[in-house]
Amino acid sequence: MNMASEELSNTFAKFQKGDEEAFSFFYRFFINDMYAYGRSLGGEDDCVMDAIQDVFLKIFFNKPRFKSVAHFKFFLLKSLKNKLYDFFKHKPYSNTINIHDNAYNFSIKTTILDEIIEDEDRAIVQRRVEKLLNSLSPLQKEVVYLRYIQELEYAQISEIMEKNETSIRKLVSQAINKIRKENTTAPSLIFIALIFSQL
Amino acid sequence: MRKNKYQGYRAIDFLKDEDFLRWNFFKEENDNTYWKNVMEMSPELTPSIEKAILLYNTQVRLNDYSLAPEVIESHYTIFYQHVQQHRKRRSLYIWFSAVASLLLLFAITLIYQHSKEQPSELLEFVKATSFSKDTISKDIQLLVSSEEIIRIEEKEPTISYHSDSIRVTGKSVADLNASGYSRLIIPKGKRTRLTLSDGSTLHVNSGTEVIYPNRFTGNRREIYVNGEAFLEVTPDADQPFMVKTRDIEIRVLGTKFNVQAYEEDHDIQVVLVSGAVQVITDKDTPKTKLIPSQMYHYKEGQASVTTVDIEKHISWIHGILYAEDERLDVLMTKLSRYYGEEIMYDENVVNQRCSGKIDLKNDLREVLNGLTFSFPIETEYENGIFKVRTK
Repeated sequence: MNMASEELSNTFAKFQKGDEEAFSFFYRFFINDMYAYGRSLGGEDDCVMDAIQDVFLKIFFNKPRFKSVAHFKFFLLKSLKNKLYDFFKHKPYSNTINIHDNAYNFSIKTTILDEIIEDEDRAIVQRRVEKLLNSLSPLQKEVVYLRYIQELEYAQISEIMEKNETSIRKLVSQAINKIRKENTTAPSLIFIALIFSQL
Repeated sequence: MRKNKYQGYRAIDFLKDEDFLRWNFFKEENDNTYWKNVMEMSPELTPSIEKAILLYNTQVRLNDYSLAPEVIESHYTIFYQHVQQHRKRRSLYIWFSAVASLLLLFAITLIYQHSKEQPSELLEFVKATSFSKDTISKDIQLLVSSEEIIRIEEKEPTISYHSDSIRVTGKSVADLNASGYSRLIIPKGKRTRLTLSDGSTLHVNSGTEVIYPNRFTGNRREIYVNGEAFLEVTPDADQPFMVKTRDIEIRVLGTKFNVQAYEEDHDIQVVLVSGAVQVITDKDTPKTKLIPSQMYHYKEGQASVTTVDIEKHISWIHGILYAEDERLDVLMTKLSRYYGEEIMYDENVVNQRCSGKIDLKNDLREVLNGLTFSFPIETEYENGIFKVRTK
């Protein structure tokens, strides 16, 4: 593997031994993923930030063992979700936001960065991507997000979503099929392409 | 003919193609085959497709809620402070956290009785210092001696007592006269974190006054609180720590707890989080011992003990205010104190009760506005005063 991932596994080994510098490295390494997941779940900024801190505090003192960096990340996301749901539960009212209402309303927001692409084109690309994903239910969105954006294993997703692995796989393939059905000309094209390739 | 669908496509055109987007998102085997074929059959498209893939990978973000580096740094700094607090707390063999909210009506006489029994220099000093809240000043005032007053404009400074100096937010402001007493006055709208000479710390809330020796000597550590503070006391069995207020006295070993003593609240609360604490009202009544999660409540001479949710009583140090079946006017008083703003309300407000959580990081206008959704009230800001009336 490349240099970066070798360095990563070295740091991870140090982290496992309780090295605080390695800990602070992973704190910065994962905070954006956690923040993004928390916000996607519908958490307000400060609420998510507090939850992240709580999750790391627990890890700092309890020093759980992780099998790998990926397992560590999975643990963080899972703990964050639990923490956020605790917050939702214990929120009689708040003047910031009523998270109760959208606790299960997972959303995926598309951003097209503007470094290369022109304004008009950017808007079109954004609409296209949104169209693809908006045909999914919140549940499908969360599964797809965890699988393809956070890149978790099916087994891990099944634990986070509290559903068995088979139904997670089913959810993902349903999501893909739905997108394919609603947006595409590809199946017939695949067919044609295959014919061409055999010529 | 169909294979010409992509003829003349530039990278940006692929990015607008749903099949292309889906392929990049899911990387499915079907689609892999399909696009491999497209490229094999029309090699001239390959550069555009490759560029489009690069664009997709670098320019398209889904749920891109990334944090600015400085936000991450400050978040980590706060995290590390919490770690340090936890560590300190863990190192104590006994610790607890308590909230005391104290009435100041009869206290001077009671304390005077105590002081007769065990002469206390601190109480002599407290008696000698007038306790009128002459705190019209908007600044935090630290009186290190009768001549020396340090004024602090910062909203949430840290004040610490070192062996030879007093520092405010890291900067040395005065030499330490070991024998004297200090008096710290926090006006409404400000807060501070105070570290005493023994390493004990206090989060001092708005509208609070604390009196303490510059250095603890003798066989006791005594401080006087008029207002609210969350304390973390360094353990020292040889030198027990005592928090005195007008009405009650709290005796602790090494510990962490919160004292609230506002004259206008007519109410005392001591909430114990962990460890043990003794509450003493006067020498004729037996001492009340609390166990964790218990609240000692003292009002108009009546004391009671109940079990409570601790978090709600100490959350103010993190900028959260909880209300539990609280009268709206009491809540208004607390908000006014915390923000240092005047709030006027009509008497019908007294009949409203509320439960919930308020984020004190929001400005007062937002907080009051939030309340209008839950209560039949309306708010208005006029001539520097917030007005709340029932609809």
